[in-house]
Amino acid sequence: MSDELPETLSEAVAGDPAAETVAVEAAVEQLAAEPAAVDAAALATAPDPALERRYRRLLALYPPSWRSARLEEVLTVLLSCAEPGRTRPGWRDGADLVRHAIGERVRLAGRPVSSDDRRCGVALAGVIAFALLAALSVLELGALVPSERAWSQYLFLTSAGGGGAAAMTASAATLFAGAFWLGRSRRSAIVAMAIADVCFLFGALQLRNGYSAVPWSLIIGILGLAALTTVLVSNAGFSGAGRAMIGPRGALELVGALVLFALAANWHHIAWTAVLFGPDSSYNGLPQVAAVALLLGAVAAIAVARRNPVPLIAVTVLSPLLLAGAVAAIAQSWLFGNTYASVNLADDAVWAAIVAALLGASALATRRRAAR
Amino acid sequence: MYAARIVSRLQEPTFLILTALAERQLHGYALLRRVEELSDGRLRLRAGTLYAALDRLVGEGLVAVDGEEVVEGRLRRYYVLSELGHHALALETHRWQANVAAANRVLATRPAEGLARPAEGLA
Repeated sequence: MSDELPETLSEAVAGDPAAETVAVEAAVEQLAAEPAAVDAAALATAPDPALERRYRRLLALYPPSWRSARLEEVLTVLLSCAEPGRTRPGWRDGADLVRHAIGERVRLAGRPVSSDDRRCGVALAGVIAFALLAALSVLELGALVPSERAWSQYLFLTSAGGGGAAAMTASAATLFAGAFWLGRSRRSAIVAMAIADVCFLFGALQLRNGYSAVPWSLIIGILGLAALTTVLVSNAGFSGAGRAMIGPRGALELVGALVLFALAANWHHIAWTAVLFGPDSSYNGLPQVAAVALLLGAVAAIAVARRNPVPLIAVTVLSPLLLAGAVAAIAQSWLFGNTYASVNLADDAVWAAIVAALLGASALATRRRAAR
Repeated sequence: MYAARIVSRLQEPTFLILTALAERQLHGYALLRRVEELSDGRLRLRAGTLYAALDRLVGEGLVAVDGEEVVEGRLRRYYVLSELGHHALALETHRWQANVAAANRVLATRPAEGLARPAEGLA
């Protein structure tokens, strides 16, 4: 009897209303007398392994914190509800899970960030920015290697490229300063700030001497990517707060996400370095094969990595810096013009808008945090 | 007052979940079945919806977790109505009783008029 309870009920509902009432009453009585009967019925037949795997895949849409608390329990219910022979989740069940998984992530995204997470996130923001800027420097050198002419023009610290490198280092050092300051490592912050000041001064001298190709829009773009990625990776809605922050797998995923984002933003990402040398430089760029390899590597990195938690508040540190950079870029192009590369005002405006949006988001996040 | 504030937004699934748990402690699957029975088969909750509601009810203190067990390698967690949950359910039931009574009073005093209008419209 207990094995057939659900079917009996559904048949009754579909047919005679009087029979339905009787069936319901019978079921109620049975339930009251024998609470374990439904349990036994639910698990009488072993569920299909493929069905369980598919349900697990759907449940992976929920945030990690929810999964660690609920996954096994909800899986029990889903498998108990599945009629015998079913190998795929019904589309209604699937849609229901997807809807509530998104809802759960949205709910978590609105929660305040703990001070530990904030500190981790701020530190990570600095690491991301620095790694990107360092990578760009490597690309810049890589673009120079194949060309004799470029090498002959490239006199480190006395050329436009030198000014660009100085500006990049200055930006990274500023970020580190902010990260150290908020991480309560004040001495490190002061050292980083001093480095930033020296580099900014050098960049300004380059500008004064006519080397005006400081790639502000490039720097702003990279920092913007770092900020956006930090927000996406760190938000509680996308990850479980409180877990180990930067493991090898987490770092892999982070790098993978950044590369994918960069490729999506501009397929000819390698040509970014052309900003440094102008359109008539002998820069040839890396072969497309390298770009495809980079893309595949990024996908693989994301596939093997797990998400790591970093907080929303990182934006609070990055946004003012980005905004300052955008303003400086626009001011530079208006006041000094450019000899090597023409600073595109439209590009700057786009970056300025992105930065303003980030600033607004971080201001809202901070205010919401303060209100709690 | 807290219970009254929560009650003001109880919807049917939540109401029936509380009703089911008022009888006795239940685990997720049994709760789904019981809600279906209580609604005469009309309301078939899905797992995602059920657990979203349970998460909220546990968070609000209307429902509490009452132990768990592993049966044939599957985790089961039992839920039970809290004191606050009983109070909220009683308040909500009282509210609906009052609504139903009011509707019955209106229908009883104006039966002819209520039925006449559609007929006139058809004519």
